[in-house]
Amino acid sequence: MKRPTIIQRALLLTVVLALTVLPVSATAKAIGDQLRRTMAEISLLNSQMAQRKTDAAQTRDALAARLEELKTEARKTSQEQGIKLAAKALKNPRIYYDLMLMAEIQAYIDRYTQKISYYRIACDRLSYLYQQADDDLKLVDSLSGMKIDALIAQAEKILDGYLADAQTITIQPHSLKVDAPQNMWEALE
Amino acid sequence: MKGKTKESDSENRIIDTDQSPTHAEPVIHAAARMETTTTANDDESLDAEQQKAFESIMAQIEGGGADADTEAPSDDFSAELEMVVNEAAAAEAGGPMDETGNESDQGLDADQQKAFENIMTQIEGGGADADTEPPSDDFSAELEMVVNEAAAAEAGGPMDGTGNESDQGLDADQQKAFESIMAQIGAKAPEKPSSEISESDSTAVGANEQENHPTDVIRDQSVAEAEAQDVSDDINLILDAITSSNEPVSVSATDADFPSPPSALQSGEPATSEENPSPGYPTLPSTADVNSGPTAIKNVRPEAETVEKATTSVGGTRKKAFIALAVAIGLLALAGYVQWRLKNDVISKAPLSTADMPRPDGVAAIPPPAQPNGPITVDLPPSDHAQLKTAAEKLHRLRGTLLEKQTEIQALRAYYQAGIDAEIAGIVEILHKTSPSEVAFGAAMDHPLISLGLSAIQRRDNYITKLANPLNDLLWSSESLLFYARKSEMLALMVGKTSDLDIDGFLKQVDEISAMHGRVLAQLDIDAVPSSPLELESIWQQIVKRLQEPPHRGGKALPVRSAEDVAIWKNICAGDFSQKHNLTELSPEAAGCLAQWKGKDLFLNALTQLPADAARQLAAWEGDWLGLNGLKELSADAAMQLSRWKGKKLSLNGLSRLSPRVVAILSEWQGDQIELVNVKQMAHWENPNTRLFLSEDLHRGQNTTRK
Repeated sequence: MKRPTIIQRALLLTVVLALTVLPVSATAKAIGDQLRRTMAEISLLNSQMAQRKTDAAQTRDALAARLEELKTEARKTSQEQGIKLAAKALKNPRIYYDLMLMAEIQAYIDRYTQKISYYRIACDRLSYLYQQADDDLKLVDSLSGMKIDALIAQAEKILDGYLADAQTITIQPHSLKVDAPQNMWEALE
Repeated sequence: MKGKTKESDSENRIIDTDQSPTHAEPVIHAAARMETTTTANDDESLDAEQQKAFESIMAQIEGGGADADTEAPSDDFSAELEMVVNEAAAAEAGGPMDETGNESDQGLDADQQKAFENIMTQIEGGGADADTEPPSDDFSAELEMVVNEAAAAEAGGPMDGTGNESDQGLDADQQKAFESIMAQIGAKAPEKPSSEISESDSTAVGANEQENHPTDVIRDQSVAEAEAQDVSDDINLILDAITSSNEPVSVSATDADFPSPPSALQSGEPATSEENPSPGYPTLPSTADVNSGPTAIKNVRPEAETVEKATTSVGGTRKKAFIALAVAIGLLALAGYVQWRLKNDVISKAPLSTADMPRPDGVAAIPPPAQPNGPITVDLPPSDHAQLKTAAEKLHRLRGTLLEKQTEIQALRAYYQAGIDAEIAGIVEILHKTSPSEVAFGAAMDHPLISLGLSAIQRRDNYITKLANPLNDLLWSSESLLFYARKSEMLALMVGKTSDLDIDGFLKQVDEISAMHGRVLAQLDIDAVPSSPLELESIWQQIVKRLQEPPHRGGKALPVRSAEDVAIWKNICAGDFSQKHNLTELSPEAAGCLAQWKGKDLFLNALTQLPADAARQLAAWEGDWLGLNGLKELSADAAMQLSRWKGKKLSLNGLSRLSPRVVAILSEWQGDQIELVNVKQMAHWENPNTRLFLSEDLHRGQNTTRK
């Protein structure tokens, strides 16, 4: 019988080594893996939503600071020019445009406040879902025949619902409620 | 193996590509080698025949060498030939060559002799042309003829009775060698690259080697039958030498019998000398030098093939080992990578520990998948952000242009107003100098200076009125642009982390607004503004009204209207300065008392008028900061008195307008700073040592004017 060559020996050795490192069985832990994947997705989405919430809070704070600057300028202008009535204030271009911008900024601040609340609730729900999946995973590791279809479906539904808001904060300007300058003047006083 | 190596070495050393110019030399060496070989093989009868052939060859060479057209061989070569002959003679004397000499002339020797004669004929014929003509097909044809003759001799039946076994063996070998030669010639082996030869030699198995490469026949026989090396090999060598006779080749039998010329050794030894046991010979620089010509390739081939084969076999083994090692390493790396990926997947999919679980209160207990935070976070879309910033800058620039135009128009209005004041002052001066009868409008119009003055006032007032409209337009336009610029900055603040903002729509709106206000700026015109100039008589009535008022410039104290002010004056003069900031009017006496105030700051912001006499008294105060922010007007006389004050800071923020004369007077003040933040128009400030605090718009306008 012909002796195997060096190449044949090397190939044989390599195949044996490769087979030893391959996963033993993927199907045996399919359920656990599926649950882990879902948990990873939940965790990722949770972190994204938390980041969006932080972004919204930062933007809102910046807008609030800008709003205060405008208020200060409007008050100073009205005091310097002795303007106390809304009619006269609205005839002053600086005060008028300050009030208009203040109204828009206030509308955005309100919307960012809503968004912050929305993201907070989303993070809470995702945390709860993650916790539920983790509990089920412990059971899957210990027991057999665990049904996780309902949980997976629920998780996918929630993930799909939040996915659109995970990448960026969505605000549609035409949906904002912007006050009239007259109301802003009254609020200023 | 050892014998083969030794033979290879000896054969390697016989190669000469450059130093042996004649084609006769290989024949001589081959013949000599043949003789020594046969002597060593105890075949006396053959030795005798060979000796005879050798002598014949030598005779031919000696005869032909003189006739050859080629360059005369060197003296060394002749000496070498003589040496070879002498050695052959010595060998002949040592054995019974003469006894078998006659027998050797018959039978097989005759064929050989015939072949040799043909060869010699070739040598003689080719000697003259050897240097000028390369080996041609004619020569091959002649070789073929020699082969045919040898075959014919062999076909005549077995050798005669004088032939022995060795004789029969010689024929077979010879025939075999000739067939190999013919196969080589037919296959044009010399044209084959040496590398291919080596490869074919190393890979070919069996009889194909003999058919394709006669040199392999020699090599195989020398390996397998080292001790039975016979004459056929020598003939082979001779024929090989003949076939390559276009270039001289030096052939030597063994190191001991035929010391090769040093030149041949230096140039003909292959570089692969690691198996060369003889350290006495220098090695070649490289094999490529040996293979520099076709003849060299042909002659080197047996030796080179041996070495190449050995090298190839060693190199091939190493190559295989390297390939196998590389493949094994690659597969192991692949397996490791697969394992690493699987491990990472498992880690990433592993559940978080309970300690890492998010807390119900949410924010701080979010599980830390830190990796996706960076790349997934949507960075600022530079296009939108940059566009908004650019739009804001564009709006600010346009607003700056509008403000410049606004300042320019305000300066015009102030100029016209100052002209009106000057005209009125001139008219009043004229009226004071003339009789009261001229107070009537008709009489006043008869006075040319008064009538012209009234017309100038009317015209300038009309200009001021007309300029109000474009000024107002510019004000609203500039404020509108400021609004959009601020909005653009606000959107730039949000656009990085917020989507669905209608940036494109806003930018389009900005463009429209910019274009509209740009048109407004280009279409500033007062001709189209409807205006109704004041009647001259109305102007005259205003002047008369002012004429009837007591003059302020005379320094007379204003009448005290407030009992409260009187009470404060008394207190001040009594040393109580606590109510000084409530003063609305100031008498010169009260001002003199107030000048005794030892504080550093004196703020009289409730004062609305400051007579010159009071100002003169007040200028004696030795404090640092005097605040008169309630003053709406400041006469030149009062300004003159204030300019003599020795303090550091003067606040006149209630003034909205200053005549050029008052500005010139205040410029002479030597304090550190003066505040005029509400002044809308002002002439050039001449005093660089005093810091001037103006409104933002006026300050910008003054800077623009300076540029």
